[in-house]
Amino acid sequence: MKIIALTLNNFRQFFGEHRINFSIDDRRNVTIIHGENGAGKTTLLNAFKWAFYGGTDFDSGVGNILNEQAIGTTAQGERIALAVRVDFEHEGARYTAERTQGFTKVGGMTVEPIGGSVMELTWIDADGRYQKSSNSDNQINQILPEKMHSYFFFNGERIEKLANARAAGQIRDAIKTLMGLEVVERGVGHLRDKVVKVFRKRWKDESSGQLAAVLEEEASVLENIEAVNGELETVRENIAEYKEEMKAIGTRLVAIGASAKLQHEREEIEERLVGIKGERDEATRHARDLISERGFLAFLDGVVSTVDEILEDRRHKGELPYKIKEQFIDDLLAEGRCICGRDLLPGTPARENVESFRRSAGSEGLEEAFLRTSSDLKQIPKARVALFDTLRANAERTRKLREERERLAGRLDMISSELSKLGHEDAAALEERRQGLERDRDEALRQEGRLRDQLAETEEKARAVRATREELATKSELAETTRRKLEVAEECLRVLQALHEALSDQTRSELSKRVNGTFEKILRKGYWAEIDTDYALQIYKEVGEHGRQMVYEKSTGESQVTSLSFIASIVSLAKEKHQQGSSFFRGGVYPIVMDSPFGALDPDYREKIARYIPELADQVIVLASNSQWRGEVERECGPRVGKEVSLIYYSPHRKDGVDPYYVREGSDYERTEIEDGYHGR
Amino acid sequence: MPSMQKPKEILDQTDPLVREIIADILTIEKEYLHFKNLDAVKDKEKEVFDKIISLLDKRVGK
Repeated sequence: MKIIALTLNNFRQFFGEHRINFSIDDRRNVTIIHGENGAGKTTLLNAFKWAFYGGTDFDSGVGNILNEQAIGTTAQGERIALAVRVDFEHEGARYTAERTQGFTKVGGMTVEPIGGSVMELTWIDADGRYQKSSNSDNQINQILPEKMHSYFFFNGERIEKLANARAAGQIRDAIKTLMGLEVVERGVGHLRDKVVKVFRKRWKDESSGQLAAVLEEEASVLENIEAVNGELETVRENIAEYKEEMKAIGTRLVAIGASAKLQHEREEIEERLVGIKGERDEATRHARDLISERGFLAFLDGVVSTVDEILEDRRHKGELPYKIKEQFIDDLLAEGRCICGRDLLPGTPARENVESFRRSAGSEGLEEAFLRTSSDLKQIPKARVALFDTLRANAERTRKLREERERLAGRLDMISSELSKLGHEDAAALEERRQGLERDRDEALRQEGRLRDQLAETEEKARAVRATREELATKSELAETTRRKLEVAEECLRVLQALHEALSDQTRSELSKRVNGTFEKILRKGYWAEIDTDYALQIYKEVGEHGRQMVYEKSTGESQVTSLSFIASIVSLAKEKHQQGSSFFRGGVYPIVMDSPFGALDPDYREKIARYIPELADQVIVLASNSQWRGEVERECGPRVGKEVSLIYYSPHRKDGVDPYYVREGSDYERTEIEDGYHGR
Repeated sequence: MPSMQKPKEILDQTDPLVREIIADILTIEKEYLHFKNLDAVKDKEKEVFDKIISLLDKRVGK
């Protein structure tokens, strides 16, 4: 999708008809819309949303998106038209999406809407034919899904929320929707929810006795699994919400001077507790590996002394090591002469004597084994002591970590108690709320554990029932075809589920690498970004001996950079997948429309965002004030700007400290005019 | 975490009949995901089920 033009008619402060043309050039792919605060930048962002989906982010009702001047200058009882039209290119066709809403002026500044708003979608296809959609809302959702809209049309000052754990669901949805994985997902859903059930029922109806009963039991067990999975999902969402709210309370406690120190201490302790858990897991893994590789040494104490005694006894008796070697006798016999000089001719008593020695001589293999065993036996006690020493040290480390954890957990309780008794009403109330959330979270975690156990038990039962079904099925010739159909449907479901998981993971992993690549170019610290296996966008850093640690507290700027890296990366990956034309991934070309994306960023980040985002997306539309645009952003973005537009704001009131070209006073109504070009240089 | 199988590996290990049916199921899903067929979503969902069931009826055991 590339946006060609936006046309507004009586939308918010845009009185009458106004049109903005956007750059669709591949190289000069940036359109910059200049406007001071209040001039209508956010209105333009919302105009896209209203045109496509019929909603806006404004709190006010539909009547309040109608221009005031249009209302004021219309006679009572007359009709007023509100419209937004978006012209865009998509997959070789040129589309026009136009939403209109009629109003009747009731009196004063009051209007009544005439029905609901209507969107009409028309296009000229690749063969030059005019087409009109019979279901515009659904079609626009296929081109740009509403739930994905906020990734491409966003307010830069509010996007940092994407970089928190709660957004994992959104990120997972974004990956699946943009990459087209919902086709596979729908296939899984249809097979699981209907098709397999239909064939199982058919088979049951065609079967009798024990097999029919087992099929019924299987259906019931599988329904149970579905129900438990549903409950697990809800509990996990609740846990994520509790954690997020606790984090928000933490931020508020830091903002309150009286509780800031205690809250900081709590966060440090919580971070250390995460580290302790990692270290304990590592210690457990190390002990397990050690026991698995060398645990046998613990049981060799008696055996070593017994073997040593046997070997010593043989040594004492002169049996080991051998005095005469097998090879030595063989060499004498082959040469036909003894060491005493006698000939060892075949059939002579001398040869028979030497040959009889051969039978009692020792083999070299046995001799070597004896020497090796004697040598190893000396090492075993040392290795055994080393094993015990390492395990003791490991156990000691685990004990210390446990003690540290208990001490820190005790301190956390004290911090909570101290915060409650601070004497600061807000802090105490927040802490009380936090304690409640902590209890709810712990209960939810216990419930999650119970459900996991229940799920494992039910899945085991399903496997057992299935095994019985298969056993009974082999004995039944009846309903053979239906049985085969069910088995193929089940196999299709299993393969599609595996494919869905593999494709999701592959996309997550590719996107994670891309996000990190963008993130590393922009963020100056030694941090790295990752979309983890739970689809949360995480930031990590290296902390001395503790190794890789998650960054919990990011500045607003860092969170915005993280979110922008994600958006730019998903847009660039979607485009790449689209160009590859894979049978699984749909992908697509999407624009990025950013309102005030540089607001909370310092100059260094502004410069880098301005440099990299236009490289990753095919089309970038930036809505910025003069102060956000000037300097490093203009320097970096400037060479890629293909179109510049200015929003000239007419205010009934005087505004000081603003560019007089962009903000003009003396209008009866608040309104904005659109001009081509930039007048701020 | 054990490394996950690649999509191609999964398909390579799949019985050819199942692979063909999966390709047909995905074609049906793609067709029904398209806007033209979403005028009445509930009816269309039933059409999808029926098409997949009919596909299995046709391809298996006959």
